[in-house]
Amino acid sequence: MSYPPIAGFMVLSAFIASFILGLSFFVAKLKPDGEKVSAYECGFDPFDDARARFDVRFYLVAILFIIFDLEVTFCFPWALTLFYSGLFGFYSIVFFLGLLTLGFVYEWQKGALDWE
Amino acid sequence: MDSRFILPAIIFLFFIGIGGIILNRRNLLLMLISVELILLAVNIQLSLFALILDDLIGVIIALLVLTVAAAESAIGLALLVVHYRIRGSISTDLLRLLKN
Amino acid sequence: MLFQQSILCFIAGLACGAGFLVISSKSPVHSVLSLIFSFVLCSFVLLTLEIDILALIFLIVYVGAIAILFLFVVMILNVKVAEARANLFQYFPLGFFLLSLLYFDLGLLMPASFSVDVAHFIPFYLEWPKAVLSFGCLESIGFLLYTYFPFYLIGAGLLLLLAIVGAILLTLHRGVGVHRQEVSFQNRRDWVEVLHMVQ
Repeated sequence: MSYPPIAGFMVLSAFIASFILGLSFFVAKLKPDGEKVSAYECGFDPFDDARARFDVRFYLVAILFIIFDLEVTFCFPWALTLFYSGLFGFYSIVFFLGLLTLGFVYEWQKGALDWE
Repeated sequence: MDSRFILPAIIFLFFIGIGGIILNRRNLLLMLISVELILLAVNIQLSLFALILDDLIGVIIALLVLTVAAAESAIGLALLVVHYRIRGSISTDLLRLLKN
Repeated sequence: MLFQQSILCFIAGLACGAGFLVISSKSPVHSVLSLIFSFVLCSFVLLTLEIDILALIFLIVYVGAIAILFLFVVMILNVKVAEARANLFQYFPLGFFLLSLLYFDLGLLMPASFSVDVAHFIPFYLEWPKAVLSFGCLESIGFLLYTYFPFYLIGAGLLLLLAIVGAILLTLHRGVGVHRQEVSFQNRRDWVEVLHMVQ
């Protein structure tokens, strides 16, 4: 295996990234102030930080992404050995995909994909 | 290549995960993160033993443990969100309200 | 060889340090970021040992999905700093006792050396060295997973189905008085019937 080019590539990219970050850190004028980083409110001091909370629906989308990510992971070796694993291997993965399709239909019917 | 010398470090990672669960019993999110750390260490151990013993079953069980980790984090974090919505905090102290 | 081993030791030590940062940092965002760092370093360990496909799968699933899920939850819950952790060492004796018990238990179970009698352990289908040398890691997983261990695959499918159903049942709450967009109804609407000429 020839990993040294990858190692060299990673070292080079880390060097470039740290160089650019360090350049903007050292060359620019730094006058840190608490008012600069706080949220801007007109007329009164800010109560809270400016981070807004996410909707739970983003979380549902992330969960579904995990599930189908793993499905694709289990399908990778199948794509390579499709012609060797015979009919039994074919039907085993078809059963697996059918289970996940069942989950997908359930999720569609419950309306987890709709956006209110 | 002999890769046995890496095993103690990964076992140490496993113990760090268990210590994270035991030492910080305040925050549910950190407990879930520690469970992820434990499963990561188990996964690395399984694939290392698959390499050492020349046995591919370890790799397949590592894939299964990966699936378990994903499902566990999905359902555990969903429970965490529901608990936060009901109680308004993610502290584990409120979990024993059922006892009284 | 010594160079490779020293690189491996360095990466594994960094992973342990990142794991220590995970359990010791105050803010959950920092601990999730250290968790991502630890994932990446463990993936590097596997990559250095040439289990490349498993390393890439770990990178995709752990960093690309699970860590993102944790970051989403941190953003949803808006947990700024962990609650007061003054009694951090409250459970330390119990924890130390349990950890040492587990450690000695593992030490009892672990054999002193892994010089396995290979001929005793070889199952009926095992020709791994030839298979790996001629096919590579991903294809040998494929040869094994779909024909010899299909029940593991089906079990993984059932687990994923359980995860889908459980997550949707737990987190999905549809609002009652919310007007939703119905795309098919909008598309079915005929403009001829809707349009009226006003004098």
